[in-house]
Amino acid sequence: MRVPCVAAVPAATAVLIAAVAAASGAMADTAGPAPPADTASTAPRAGQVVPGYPFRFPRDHFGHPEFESEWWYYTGNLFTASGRHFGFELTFFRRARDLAREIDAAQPSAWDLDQVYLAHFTITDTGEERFVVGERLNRAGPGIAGADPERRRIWNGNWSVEWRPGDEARPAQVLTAMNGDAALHLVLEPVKSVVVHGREGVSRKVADDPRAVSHYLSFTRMAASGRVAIEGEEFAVTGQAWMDHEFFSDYLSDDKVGWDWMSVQLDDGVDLMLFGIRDAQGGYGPDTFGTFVDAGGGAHPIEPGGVAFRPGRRWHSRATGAEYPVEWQVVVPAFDLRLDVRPRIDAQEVFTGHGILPAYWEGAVRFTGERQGRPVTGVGYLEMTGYAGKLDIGGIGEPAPGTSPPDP
Amino acid sequence: MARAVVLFRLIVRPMAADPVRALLTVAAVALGVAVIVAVDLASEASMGSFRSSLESLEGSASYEITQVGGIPETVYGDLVRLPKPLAFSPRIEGFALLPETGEQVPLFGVDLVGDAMPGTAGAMPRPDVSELIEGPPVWVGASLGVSPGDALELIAGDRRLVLEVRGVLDPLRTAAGRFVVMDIALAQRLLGRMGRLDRIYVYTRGEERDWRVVLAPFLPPAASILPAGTGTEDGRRMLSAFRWNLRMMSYATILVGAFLIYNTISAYIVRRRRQIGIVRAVGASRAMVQAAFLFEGAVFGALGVAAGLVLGRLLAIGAVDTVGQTVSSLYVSSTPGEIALRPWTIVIAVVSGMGVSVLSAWWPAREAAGVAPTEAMAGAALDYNVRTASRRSTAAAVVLALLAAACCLAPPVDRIPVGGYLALVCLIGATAMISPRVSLLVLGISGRWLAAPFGIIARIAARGLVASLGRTSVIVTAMAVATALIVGMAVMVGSFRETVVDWIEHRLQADFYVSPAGRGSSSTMSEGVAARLAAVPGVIDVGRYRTYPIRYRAIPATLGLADVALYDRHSGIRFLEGPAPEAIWPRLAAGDSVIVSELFSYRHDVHANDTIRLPLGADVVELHVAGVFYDYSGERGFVIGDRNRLLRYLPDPRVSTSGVYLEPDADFEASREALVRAVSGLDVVVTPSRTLRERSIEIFDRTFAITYALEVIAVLVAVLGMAEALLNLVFDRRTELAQLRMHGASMGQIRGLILVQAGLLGLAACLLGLVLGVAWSQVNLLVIHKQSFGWSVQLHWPVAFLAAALALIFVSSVVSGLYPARIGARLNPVEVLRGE
Repeated sequence: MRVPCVAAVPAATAVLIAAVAAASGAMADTAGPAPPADTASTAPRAGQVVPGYPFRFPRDHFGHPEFESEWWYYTGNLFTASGRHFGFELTFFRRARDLAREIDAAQPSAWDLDQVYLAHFTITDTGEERFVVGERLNRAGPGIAGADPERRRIWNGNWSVEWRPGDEARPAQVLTAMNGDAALHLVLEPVKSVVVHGREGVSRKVADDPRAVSHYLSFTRMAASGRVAIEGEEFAVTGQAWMDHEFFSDYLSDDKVGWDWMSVQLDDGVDLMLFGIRDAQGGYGPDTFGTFVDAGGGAHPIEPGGVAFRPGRRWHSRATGAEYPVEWQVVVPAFDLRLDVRPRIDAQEVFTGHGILPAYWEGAVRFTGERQGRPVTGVGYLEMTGYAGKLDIGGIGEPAPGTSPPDP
Repeated sequence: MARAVVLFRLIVRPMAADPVRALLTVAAVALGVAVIVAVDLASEASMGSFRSSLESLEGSASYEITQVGGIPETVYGDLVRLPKPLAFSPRIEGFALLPETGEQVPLFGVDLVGDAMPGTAGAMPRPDVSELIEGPPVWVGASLGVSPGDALELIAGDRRLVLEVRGVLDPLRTAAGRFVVMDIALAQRLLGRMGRLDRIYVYTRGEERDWRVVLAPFLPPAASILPAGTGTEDGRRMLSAFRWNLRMMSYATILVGAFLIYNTISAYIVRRRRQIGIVRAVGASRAMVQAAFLFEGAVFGALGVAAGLVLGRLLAIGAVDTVGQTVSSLYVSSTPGEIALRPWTIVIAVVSGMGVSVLSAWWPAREAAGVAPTEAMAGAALDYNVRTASRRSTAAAVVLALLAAACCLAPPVDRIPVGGYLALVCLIGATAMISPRVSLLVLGISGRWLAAPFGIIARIAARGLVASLGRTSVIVTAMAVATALIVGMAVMVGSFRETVVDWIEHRLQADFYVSPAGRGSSSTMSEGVAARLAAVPGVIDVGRYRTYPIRYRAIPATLGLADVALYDRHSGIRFLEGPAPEAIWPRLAAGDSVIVSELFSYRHDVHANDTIRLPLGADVVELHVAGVFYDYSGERGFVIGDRNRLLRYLPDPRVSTSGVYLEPDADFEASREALVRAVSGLDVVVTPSRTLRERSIEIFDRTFAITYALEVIAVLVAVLGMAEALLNLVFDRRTELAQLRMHGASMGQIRGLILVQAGLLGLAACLLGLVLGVAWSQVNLLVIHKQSFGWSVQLHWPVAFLAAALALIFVSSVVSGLYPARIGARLNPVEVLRGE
């Protein structure tokens, strides 16, 4: 759940995504069919996170332009037949904002900046200790980027996720992405059905702030198979992937600096989503949350404060100067779980130099530990934000080091 | 050592003794070189800006996609989703008018979000997205002279707005470029291009292959994908014909200079036969003598080139304005770039200046080498043997004239009428060959006639000229070439102007024309404007005309969509092929028929009743050619069809120009006010057709302004030569003049004698120049213009202008005799005779 993006968003606001607005909350995709009536509106953005939100699938797997922010995160651990490990991240962000249409309100253009899409694509090559990062920024434009329920597609240029028709409870998703140095083509087949985090469809981020909420969905375990190409070499791979989808409208929270999040896929069939929001002192207080998904797919919320995050060894980023705790110990007493977290490689910082989003660390990790007294191992992804210098939560003032491109 | 002596005795000493003549020669070469340099610099500078504005934002694109009427923007969405290692960059292109200066500059709409990612387009601004929303800002070319933070007012399409300048772009690092860049959404709105893109650039990454084949299936059939830069290349080719014409004229000027150098060196040799004999007698070889005179030619050349480069650089400042205005009024909106002396310009100057000098010294130098040592003792200032009036030279003249005719039949090479230019060179050669004969004729006849009014002096003058025919005929040739340049251009420009004026009169049938204020070829206004105009009382018809740039067989042309129904009543189009206009209009309205301009017909060999295939909108359409019409509006061929029919293929209803037709008895001024009121609030301009006519003629005249300057310089060079030739005559004939004085001739009579000689030379030159000029004009109209522009021009004789020009040339030739006459009259007969 990367949500705490709450925190991040303001910072991002200054930069990216900050984009745009949506006087017409419509997906500005002229070629596509008209958006559902409830999302198309010329009124101010109406999207608010509410308890009891009536999820409808597959519709709710796609875009909600009436909400300000939305994203789809695909991460996973892949292996070749000989056991060589690769990690991947393919993320689509959407951001909407109201346009000041002083030119001509009567003449909407497909190029209006009411919906802007950012995407990140990374490949971790553990064997060669390589980490390749790509970034895309586009407006919705005439079909340049979008998240369209009719086309069953989420895309930014030629990076895309196509949702195959068929089993709507466990829809297969096809990922395609290519960058200068790397390419990815994967078919993901959910092993478990979609999980709605939180209670009554609302995932809370800050214990004492009822506005810090989102709608948060995950496919916590998907079988992945396909191809990874890196620097001209191509590999057939299989493995496990995870998908997060969140949408919400902004609010500010000024005493938080960042968050730590992890997806855990244990070999006994259990999956966990865990996160904590840090304050300026580096503490979490009651602001740690999570979801326990049993082997059968049953989701159980972890109560606020129910996760203990203990940072271990730190890695120093030469690009941004940030110190990331790349090793952790996490404890979830309610489920009698203790895990040690180790990165596949240390250097998995997502830093593009474009300054669109602040730098963050998002990488493939391994888990070892004990659950209910029995040893367990697992794979997953770790995300750490707010370490690349002091993140200015208010979104005002100086951008954090690591958010601006170096001077040419 | 011996060489040095020869050089000193034959060249340095005489030159030093008579610096005026040496200076005149150098000045003639310098003027010729200066004109070449100025024309080259000016045309280069006026091209410069055109190059930069389009190319600057192209980056390293490999291909560009275009389509008549614009590419549907959804195609762009399809392209960027292709799983290929390609990047794309969309463009909206148009023009904006800067009301503050009245200047029209290119306006580019680019994707400032998508292209803000490094690795795609070249030198894009990289704003934050939020900046674009709060602005909207613009970026400007470096030479527009505005700074970040300034407010820039501009008119684009029919809108006017003030935008904040966020940055200055100098992508080619030339501090040049006058253009405006903004986000694509805003540009689309301003220029009325909703849903369409003007161009898509394709950037390939790594993999080398013909991506056109890969992309073609994803493009509409009417779209074309070409190597990037093709558009700029078209513009460049358009301009090259124009530049060639200018260049050729500048070369004619240096040719006039060539005759002068020939003349000067010949004169020197005659005067120095004695010294030549002496140096030969003391052992100098023929080769040494020849080399000495060639060296002299080279010195004239070198000095002339040096002075010419400096002078040319200065002339270019004035020429840039003239050429630049022509380029922008005829071809593209462009503003002159920096005047830069390129190595290539220097090479051209050196080669033409030195080459012409050395070549024209060649024959006189050979002549000098032939002087026998004994001649040195002969003493008398003999004219060297003139065989120029022989039958052989007359025959050569005929052969050259025939050769010229043959050259006229040659087809153009890459649209440059090489044959025509060769014909001009042959004609000049023929003139040189026939010149002695014509001079003899003129002198023979006029000698007799002039005897009555001017007495014996006139006869002596004529005989004196006949005696020195070898040199005087050269100067007559030089003068004749300069005269021919004026006559030829006068007939050509005069005919052309008359034809164009006549055509404009017929073509502009409406009483008013209404067009977007930011008028570029691509500016349009909404269809509603026409409706508003039609509602004005007194208006009987409003025509809507829309143009699209198209490409037919890889050559750019213009497609016009006209309200053909109105042509029935108001058309001023005149046809050169096809049935009567009354029969053509219904055909256009009824089916897929079009009419094409003469230029289009000529370029593509397309005639009435042929069929052409044009990509229109999403389809490739077969169109029947109903007729070919006269058109002189520019470099591009026209295809015109009925608006209502063609809107099926090109559904954009926006209008480029509206013609407003009034009731016959409507009050002109009142209607004008009513029309202006009807479109108030929109940035469109109502222009009376009278103004349009005047403006067109003005553009026409401005186009040829620089040619007048070239003609004047050519005459100036020739007059300089005339003065020099007469000085030579005075010098050579000083004994004769002294004897005349001794026999009682007054100073006034001597002065009269020399002036009569000047007049006679002028007369011969005018006659010869008139003949050559007429031939020249025919080559220009029938070959050069037809081949470079495809226009047929009705011949028109600008009699008054010609008479005035010839009179002026005659008078200047007489005036050029004033200084030599003074020198001649002031000779002290006693001293001269004692010296002999």
